[in-house]
Amino acid sequence: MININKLCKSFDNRKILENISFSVVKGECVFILGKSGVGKSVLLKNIVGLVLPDSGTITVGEIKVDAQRPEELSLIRQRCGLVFQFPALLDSVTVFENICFGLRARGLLTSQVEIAARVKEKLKLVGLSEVVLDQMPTELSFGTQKRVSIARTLAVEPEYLLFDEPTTGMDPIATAGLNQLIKNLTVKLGVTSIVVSHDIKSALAVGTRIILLEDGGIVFDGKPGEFKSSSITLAQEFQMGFGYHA
Amino acid sequence: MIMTWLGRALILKVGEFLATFFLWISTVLSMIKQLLKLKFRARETLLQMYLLGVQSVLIMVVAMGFVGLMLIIELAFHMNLVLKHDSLVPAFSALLMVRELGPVITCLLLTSRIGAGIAAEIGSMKISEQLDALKMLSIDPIDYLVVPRWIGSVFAAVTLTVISLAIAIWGGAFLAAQKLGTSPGEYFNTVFFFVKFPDLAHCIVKSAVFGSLIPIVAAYQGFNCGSDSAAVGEAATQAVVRTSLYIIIADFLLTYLFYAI
Ligand SMILES: Nc1ncnc2c1ncn2[C@@H]1O[C@H](COP(=O)(O)OP(=O)(O)O)[C@@H](O)[C@H]1O
Ligand SMILES: [Mg+2]
Repeated sequence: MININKLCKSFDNRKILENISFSVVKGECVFILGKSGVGKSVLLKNIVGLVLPDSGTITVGEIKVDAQRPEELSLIRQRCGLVFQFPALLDSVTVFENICFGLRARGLLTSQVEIAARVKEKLKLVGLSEVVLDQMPTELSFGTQKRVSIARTLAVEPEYLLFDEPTTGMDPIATAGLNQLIKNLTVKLGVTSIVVSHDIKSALAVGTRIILLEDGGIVFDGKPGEFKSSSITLAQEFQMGFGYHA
Repeated sequence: MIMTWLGRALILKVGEFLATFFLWISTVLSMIKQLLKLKFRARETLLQMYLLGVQSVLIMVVAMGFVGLMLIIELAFHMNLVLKHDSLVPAFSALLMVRELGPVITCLLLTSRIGAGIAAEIGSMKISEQLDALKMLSIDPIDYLVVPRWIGSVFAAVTLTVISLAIAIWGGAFLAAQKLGTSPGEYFNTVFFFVKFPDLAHCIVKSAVFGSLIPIVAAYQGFNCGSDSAAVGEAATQAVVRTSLYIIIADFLLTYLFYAI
């Protein structure tokens, strides 16, 4: 379970998140929606301690996110995989190295055969062929890089997956594939996921719960069905803006 | 009003200096830890030695060759003016080269060649969230990025200083033979009579210290880079400006120290 309690965060006296509280229980697939710049990425980064809150607490499982305890933070980052908004692949090493980096650094797998098998398995999950393994990240298209970054996050087999706009910049086929993957991970493997997205269709199709952020606070938190019939202006705008009619 | 502004600027600068110094300490500790745990990043380190050191040889050799030539002409003029003879020109030029100009000019050139690059590289890794990605993979950016560059840069500074000194002194021998009529035998005799082991040690220590400053100041600027593309350029510029300043101040302190002991 991920528990966020009264989280506040400002940058240079500009309040971004104010008193955000919610918990995500095992097996949920929560979509977080909100306009650009509302603080969705900041919220995800708070969960894994890449950004530290001004006040409030976050716990992942039974561990509190605390920058003063590097070992625990490292454990949280292993259990909570974060897929960044931009691919953020290390551009000085190959795709293969990128995917197995975490496995090696954490000493999860040691035999080369096991590592190679794990890398290929995750690559297949995100719908890429093995030819990309020896390429450098900069040789790949944006969409492919993004899928590699998802494979990199999946490689350490985290219990919680945090996706930051996973389908932005991807073609419709890749988008559908990724939505299916998120659904499969949730349903079959029991992974808990939090997905930041602009894609209302994906949210309604894949999500088990939707949270809507506006002006630093939560304005909606409920099931996709409730979201569709919500009277909140922003919720309606989101559905109209994307040409979605229930 | 002006005083509070100045005061705040001073506090910021001192804070930044201390933070950079702290990064220097963390890097050295991190390197010791790598060595003790036998988790030495050999591949990255060798790559950096190549990129920072080997690839800088040509520019250093050319630049320091010309410095060697200039020194002979300049010192011959001074000595003829003051002492009315120029037999000590080789000794003076070699001493000045070894104790002062060799390490300082080599490392200032090295700063402009690699300092900006390191700051820009780390800065753009920060903007593209690669640094955050490293942390998510449980890799410490200091351990993975800074330590190999630190070793590479210290290696580059020391070896390049020695190589460029050799070139400058040989260049000096050539020009002294042409202009002053000093034979190469005579030239090297005078040089070795005056330049002693402590001078060389002095030179190596200086270049190692300067070389160790370059990647730290650059990495600090990269780590604290703003989030737009202009910020990367700014980080690169600041890295070169700060490092050059630090090298010149460190040179004074070390020179002072060496004469004091
Ligand atoms: N490290 C930072 N320093 C200063 N401001 C930041 C930082 N990270 C994010 N912000 C600001 O916080 C706000 C929210 O950013 P973000 O979470 O990326 O928005 P989004 O909801 O589009 O993901 C933005 O206005 C951004 O400029
Ligand atoms: Mg974002």
